[in-house]
Amino acid sequence: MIKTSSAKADFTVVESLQEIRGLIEADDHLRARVRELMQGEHLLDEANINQCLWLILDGVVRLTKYDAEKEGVMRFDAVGPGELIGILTYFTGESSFFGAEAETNCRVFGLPWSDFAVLPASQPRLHSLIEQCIRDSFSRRYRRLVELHMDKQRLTDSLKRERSELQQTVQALEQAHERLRSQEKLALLGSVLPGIAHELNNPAAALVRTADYLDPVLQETFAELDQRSESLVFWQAGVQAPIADSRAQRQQMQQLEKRLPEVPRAMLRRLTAMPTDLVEQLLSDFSESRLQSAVRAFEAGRLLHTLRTAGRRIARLVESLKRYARSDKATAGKVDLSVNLRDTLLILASRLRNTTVNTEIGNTPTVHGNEDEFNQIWTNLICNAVDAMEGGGELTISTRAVANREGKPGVQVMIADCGPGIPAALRDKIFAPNYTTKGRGGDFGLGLGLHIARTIVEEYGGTIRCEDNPPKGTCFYVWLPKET
Amino acid sequence: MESSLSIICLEDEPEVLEAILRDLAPFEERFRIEPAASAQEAREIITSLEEANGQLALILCDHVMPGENGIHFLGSLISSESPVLQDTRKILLTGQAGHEDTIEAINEGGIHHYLTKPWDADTLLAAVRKQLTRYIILRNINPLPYMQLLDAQALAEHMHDKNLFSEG
Repeated sequence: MIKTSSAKADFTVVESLQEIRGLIEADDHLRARVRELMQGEHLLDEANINQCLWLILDGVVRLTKYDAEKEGVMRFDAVGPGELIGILTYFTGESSFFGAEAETNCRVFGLPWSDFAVLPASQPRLHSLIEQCIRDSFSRRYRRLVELHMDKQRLTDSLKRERSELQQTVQALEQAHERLRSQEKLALLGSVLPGIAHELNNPAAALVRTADYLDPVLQETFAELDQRSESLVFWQAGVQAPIADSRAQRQQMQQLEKRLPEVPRAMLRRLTAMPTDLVEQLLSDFSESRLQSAVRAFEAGRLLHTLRTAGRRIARLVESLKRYARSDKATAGKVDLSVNLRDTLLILASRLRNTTVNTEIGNTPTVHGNEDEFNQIWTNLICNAVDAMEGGGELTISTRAVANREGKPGVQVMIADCGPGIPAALRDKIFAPNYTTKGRGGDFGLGLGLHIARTIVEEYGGTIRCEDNPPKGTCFYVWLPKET
Repeated sequence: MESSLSIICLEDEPEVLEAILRDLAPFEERFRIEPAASAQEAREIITSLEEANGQLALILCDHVMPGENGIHFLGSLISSESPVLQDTRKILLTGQAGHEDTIEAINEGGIHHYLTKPWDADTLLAAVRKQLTRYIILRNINPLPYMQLLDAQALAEHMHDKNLFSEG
């Protein structure tokens, strides 16, 4: 930034400076006005009154200015032989605008005002040479001012550019960070899932086993209880009978209330859960005590039934969880897409609570791939569909053995929703990374879902595309080649 | 008939519904308990109560269900002018007690009480007892038949305030 003006001194300056030196040397009075400066010695102090016009004969003088912000002195220029220092203050009498000190050892010629006034008469040649120096100095200073302005503008521009680039970089970094965090979270989830599944599996197994052990114990107990074995019959009915639906229960309740107005409703409620033939058997020879023991036996059966059903349900969920998050991610092998899809559906059951799911998942040939990765595809496609339908709607999932255009055998999975659909113009973009219609910030709104799906599908030589699902909605087709 | 006060239990999972009914058995003595597996079914029950000039004292309702969810169903009842639904108490029983769901339940569903699954019987019974007591008071129903089953002290205070006790 800081250039030495003397570097630009042209030939005429050198020549006239040579002449000035000669003229000074030849005159005792003038020679007495030459001052030797040692390196670092001050010539002018900022804000002091300047008495002389200084002409540099040899060496370099640096110009300094006090910077209030930095609380220090800043070197803003350096001038060499032929340059004048203190022109303005010399003529105006104002205090010095900057400071000057010797950067190297220097020789300067100082001309007090009284001398300058008589110079035209006493030394006309020197006067005109100095005047020439003043004019040169002013013109150089003006050119430099313009250059500085331009430099400043260029700097401001590049600063602005850099700032906006920086902003973009920061934004991109933030996005990447968010993406990483979400991937990390998913990876963490994937790594802890098998452990959780294992932990859940033990109590689930204990539940199921306990129900199984309890079964013969209670069976014997009820068999011994009464000679007619009626308790046994009611207990077995409780274990086996499916739970009556709420409508049938209500109807049954109304009828029973009419037939047995003297029996407490809480007791009748238990009867509504029983198969009707058993209820009739009880009512044919009605007695309070018979009713009570029958209800007790049936109730015991029902409790065991629920225990077992709930335990098995947990065990099934755990099984799916384990398959869903298997840790051996790298291995690829035979995958039965129907099992794979059903696992995903079971895992996503809570998200699909308000959606009607139609499945036509039949037996299809196995394909080559990795169950976890395929799960990810179905999860992404199904979650997108559910989001598009705002949680409700109708989802259709089907599998079918079909050959692709080249006649290669494979399996096509179709996932169709009845959401608002995807405009044709966007159908290519949706598979690009970072394409999302969901608000930023959410863990699953990063716009990576379909990109990941496509990457996985293509890894196993398959294709993914989407079409309209008339009259309304979108239909995704994933085709994967048959395992060979 | 004095037992024209009903309770609807709305729950889509049969095993869970059965467990709720089992827990609520003590209330069968004075209230007609109606199980329903869907919002649609619950509406049918309300319609039949209208035909029978019944009154709905309480709805105990699951949130996450196929089709219409619990909060939406309860919210849809707020604007109803049906005599069956006047002052009906609402309890939400849910396994997914998310922050937003809770806010929505209170703001949109007009919920009086919020219970999370799995519940324990005592908590459920206490909540139901409290809401039913409130209902008896709000509807100015003669509390004497309900003294043993519900909050006797609250009912007695209400009677006292209303000068329902006869002199002597």
